[in-house]
Amino acid sequence: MEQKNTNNMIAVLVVVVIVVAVINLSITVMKVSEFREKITGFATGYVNITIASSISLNLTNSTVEFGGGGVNSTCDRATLTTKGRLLPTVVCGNWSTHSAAGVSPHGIAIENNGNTNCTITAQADTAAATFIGGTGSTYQWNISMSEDGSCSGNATAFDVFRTANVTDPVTLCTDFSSLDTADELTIDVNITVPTDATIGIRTNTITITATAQS
Amino acid sequence: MVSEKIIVVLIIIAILLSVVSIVITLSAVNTKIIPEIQPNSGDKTDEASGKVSLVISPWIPPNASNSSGK
Repeated sequence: MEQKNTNNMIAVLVVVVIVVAVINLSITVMKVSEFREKITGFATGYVNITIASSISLNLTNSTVEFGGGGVNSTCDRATLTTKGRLLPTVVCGNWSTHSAAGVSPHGIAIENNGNTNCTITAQADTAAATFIGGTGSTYQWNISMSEDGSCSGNATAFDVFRTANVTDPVTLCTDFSSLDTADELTIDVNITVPTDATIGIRTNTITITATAQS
Repeated sequence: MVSEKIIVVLIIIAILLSVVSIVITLSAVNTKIIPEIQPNSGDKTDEASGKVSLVISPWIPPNASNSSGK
């Protein structure tokens, strides 16, 4: 008789244990469902992601500003030339090579801040006749690598001044590197101002476009 | 009256339920779930513009500057 009572008590306890286990299991399943939505996990595994190529041009120097000046009285034209980050040269003119703030006009510095190599083109909005005016005015530019290895497959010769393109964009570099240590090109300008140039403030805009390599 | 066999079966059921609970918990903890990444095709082109400017003053011929002193 005592054995039977013990068995009954154990049976009751076991049923209680099962009920508790079922409740525990239910709560676990519910909490795990919520947990899965929030965790990033601890186990090792493989994650495959594709980083899309992105183009981003940054002009670390976007303005070439010579300020005011004129052709020397003994000359029939003046020539203004930027030389990258160095002091520009002014021949037969009295334009200052330093601005009021003590900053000299530098070439336009183009940095490839994207994550892929690209092709860049440039186009000026007006030609020398409109930009400078007068007889025999010229407006030229050249491209150079301000960081070695910034461009391979250059479409135009480096460090050679040529007339700035107005009608169509000219390809400056077909493989502009995105490496941090080799991702900067410079556009320098060479302007000839004749004595009969248009007087006043003269401004020209150069549009630079980068396109991802296909 | 409850027989010993039934008790054993019930105990086994309780143990199995506990084991299942533990397995589910561990599998959840060890699961690596990556949040859904929104695909971004990236920018294919970019454009920037630079400006070249100067101010041109009138040119004064040499003889004009000489005559101006008279």
